[in-house]
Amino acid sequence: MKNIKNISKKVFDLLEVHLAAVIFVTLFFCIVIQVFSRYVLNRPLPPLFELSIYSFVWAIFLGAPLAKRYRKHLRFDILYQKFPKRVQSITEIAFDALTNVVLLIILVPVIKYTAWNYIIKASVLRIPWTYLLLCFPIFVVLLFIHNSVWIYYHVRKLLGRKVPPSESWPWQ
Amino acid sequence: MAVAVWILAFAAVFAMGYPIAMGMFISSALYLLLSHTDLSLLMDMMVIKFENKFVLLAVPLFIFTAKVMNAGKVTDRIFEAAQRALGSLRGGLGYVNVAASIIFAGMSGSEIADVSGLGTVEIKAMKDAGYDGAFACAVTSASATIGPIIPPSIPMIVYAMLSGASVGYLFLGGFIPGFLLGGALMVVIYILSAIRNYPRGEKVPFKEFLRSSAKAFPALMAPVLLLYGIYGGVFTPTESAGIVAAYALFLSLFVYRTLGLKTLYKVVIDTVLSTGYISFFIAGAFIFGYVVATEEIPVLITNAFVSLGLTSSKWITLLSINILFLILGCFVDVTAIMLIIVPMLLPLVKNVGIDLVHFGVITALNLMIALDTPPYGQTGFITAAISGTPLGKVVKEMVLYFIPCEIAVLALVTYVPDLVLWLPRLAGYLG
Repeated sequence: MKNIKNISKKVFDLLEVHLAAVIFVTLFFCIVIQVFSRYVLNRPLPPLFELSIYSFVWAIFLGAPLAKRYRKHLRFDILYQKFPKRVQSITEIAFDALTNVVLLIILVPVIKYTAWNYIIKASVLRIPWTYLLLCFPIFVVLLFIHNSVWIYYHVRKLLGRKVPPSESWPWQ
Repeated sequence: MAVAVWILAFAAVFAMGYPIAMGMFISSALYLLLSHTDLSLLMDMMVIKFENKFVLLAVPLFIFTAKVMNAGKVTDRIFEAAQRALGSLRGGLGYVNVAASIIFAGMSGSEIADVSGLGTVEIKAMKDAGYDGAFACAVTSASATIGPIIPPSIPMIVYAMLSGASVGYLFLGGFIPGFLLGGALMVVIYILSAIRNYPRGEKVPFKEFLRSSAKAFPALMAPVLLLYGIYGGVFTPTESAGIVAAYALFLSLFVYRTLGLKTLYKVVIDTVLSTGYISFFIAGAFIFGYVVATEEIPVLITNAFVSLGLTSSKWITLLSINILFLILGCFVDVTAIMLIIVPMLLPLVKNVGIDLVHFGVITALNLMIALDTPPYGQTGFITAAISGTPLGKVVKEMVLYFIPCEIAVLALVTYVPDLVLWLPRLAGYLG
């Protein structure tokens, strides 16, 4: 069990932390090099412009599950904070479960649409749009897993089992 | 059926404290499912729509800049320079607090970055000098509202994306209101300092003042670079975000040498995390906005304003929108107001003839005040947590002195549009 946890954490870190960081750095350099090339070398670089947008989209959809993992998404929690801990856990389980049902329903159409877009090419980079859209199915899967982990964590809490501090990711 | 489920699902998620962006995403996905709309629309709206929203790339870059400035202690130098200049006045650290926020505002565009980075230094210095904690926290919270009014401004970038208004003109429009707000806060600090007999700092010899100014000079050049770049036609606002980020990085790594590679990597990861929840909110708002438009909610809102007689003049409309924002701001997160409420109001705003740049600056001001207003005023929470001051005391200080001051500036900016539009018009804006 411990090995599974460690391997899972490494996989999630690889995608949501390290890959996302590399993508953000790419975005940053694309913008800087683009400005330098256009105004100093007088030579615009349209591929970098497109790459920066693709990087941004990937950073969003890898960063969003990461934010779910660490409970960083913005909430309107005035009412929620007033609930007893048990009710808070039940609410979280209910909404995470509802989200997972929706994610399961959309997963297949999302994958099909991503694959279908292989025929469409990016206007400058000329790579299939599938590579741009691929971040979305990955986001759906990662979010599904994080929600499931949080459900597991809250169920354990309800059953009075030992749980890690609520601010940290249950698998950590 | 689909609409009922959409409203119910979103209302439940919102009220029960589940992430709002997730609420927009799943309620809209349920709507598409139940209305038998092709689910590919979800990806068209949430992913492909970013393809022509280049301006939004500025958001992660400004977040990154603010985090680099804070991690690289560039903010400390700004504070030190302001302290040398203004610290010897009675209540001087209050003015220093405002002045440092104005300078930081020219680099970061994020209020939370101001409160949590610069605020930590400011509150500590004020408490060490004998100011009471509640005053220090209230001044820090209030002065941080200047951040997104003076360019650059993340809320203005998002507003520009929603409304189609020019980012450049919005940025220019924020200058006078930002300085006005800073001036108004200084007046409040002056009065309170005189009444409470707050301490004066030591007089700094001119040589010392010059020395600290020289140390802060490279940091003070960041806003100059940004503004010259945008208004000199050298680069777009998005590109300016990248250039300022590169400059902040250069300062922290090579000039001040205050940022190591390990910390830098943490800053990058932190930026990815913030980008994840802020920009996913925008993605959620895209699909949510599609449902709002399909169900003609803005038309319903316009009709409601008309039937209540709130569209007889644009001034009455602006007054009612300001009141609506102020009430919502007490309870709802500002990102939610910007991405859910503002798009619903924009058709009404256009119909009654309100200038979009003027409305953008008013919106940014409203949202910044919302960050201060209890019970959901995030700046109060952060400053109280930083200083260990009871939240109630901070809130009392804010509500009695600083929030009324901010509302007075809002009223002035609302009813004297030239305060916003004068500079953009000088630069060629035809509105």
